[in-house]
Amino acid sequence: MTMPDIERERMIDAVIRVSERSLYAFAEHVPKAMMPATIDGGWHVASLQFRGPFSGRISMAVPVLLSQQICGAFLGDDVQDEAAVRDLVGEFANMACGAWLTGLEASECFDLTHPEVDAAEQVPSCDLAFVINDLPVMLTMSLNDPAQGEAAS
Amino acid sequence: MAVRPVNVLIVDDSAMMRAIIRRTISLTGVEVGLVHEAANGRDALAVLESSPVDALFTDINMPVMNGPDLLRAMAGRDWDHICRVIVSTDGSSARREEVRDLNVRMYVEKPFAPEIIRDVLLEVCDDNAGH
Repeated sequence: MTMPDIERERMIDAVIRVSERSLYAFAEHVPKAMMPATIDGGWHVASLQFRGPFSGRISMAVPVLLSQQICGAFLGDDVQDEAAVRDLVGEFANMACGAWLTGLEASECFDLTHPEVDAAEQVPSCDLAFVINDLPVMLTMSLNDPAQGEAAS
Repeated sequence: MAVRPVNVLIVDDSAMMRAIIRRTISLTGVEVGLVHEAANGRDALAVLESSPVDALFTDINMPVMNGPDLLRAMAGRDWDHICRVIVSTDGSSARREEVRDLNVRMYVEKPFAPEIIRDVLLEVCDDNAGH
């Protein structure tokens, strides 16, 4: 299902607010064409589903280098803790999705699944692109089509 | 009169979110005593039974025991003085209504501004000074 522009705008705002307020990292929305598919060190990709008045899923791809940088800022230099680094990426996606949904439907509850975080060598495409601390971050959003019962971008 | 530092308990299943709240507390400039952490409601109850706590920041969705169940378990115990704050990604009015009767002082949406956490801690400082 096509994502309306206003919903994309709210998601852009949500990602920037979460990045700056919670992660203390400067974020900027940029054109998708600026995004590289591969990056040194690879990506962490956090995915979660949401269900409520409407349902769908989001995936957020963060360079391993960036997640280690931010994690190190909170936990000291112990960025070798892979679990903590993945936890950070999952929480980033979780907060962005929650803030976006609250902005869309302030009166309704949504259930969010626990974020799953996987490693990826390549992230070929995205719906929204950001630069955070000078590194690329990519977001993919999809809504389930109530008629079809499956997600489409 | 010297005001006793505020002892805090942060309850969230994400270690990173606990670190974010801890960092935010440190940036408020409010004098804080001990900052305890727990990964779920059951672990939080263990902390409450063994340590004095003035302010509790809890997530809603957690494994083992979630935030609302933690607050229900606190009711009727000798913890009425503890300032209870929900910190959640879900800012919907439906979710706020769900915890309204659980003696919650404030409902804070993630991402939150440090000023909100500061205001909570200052309120608790005032409570401590009044006792």
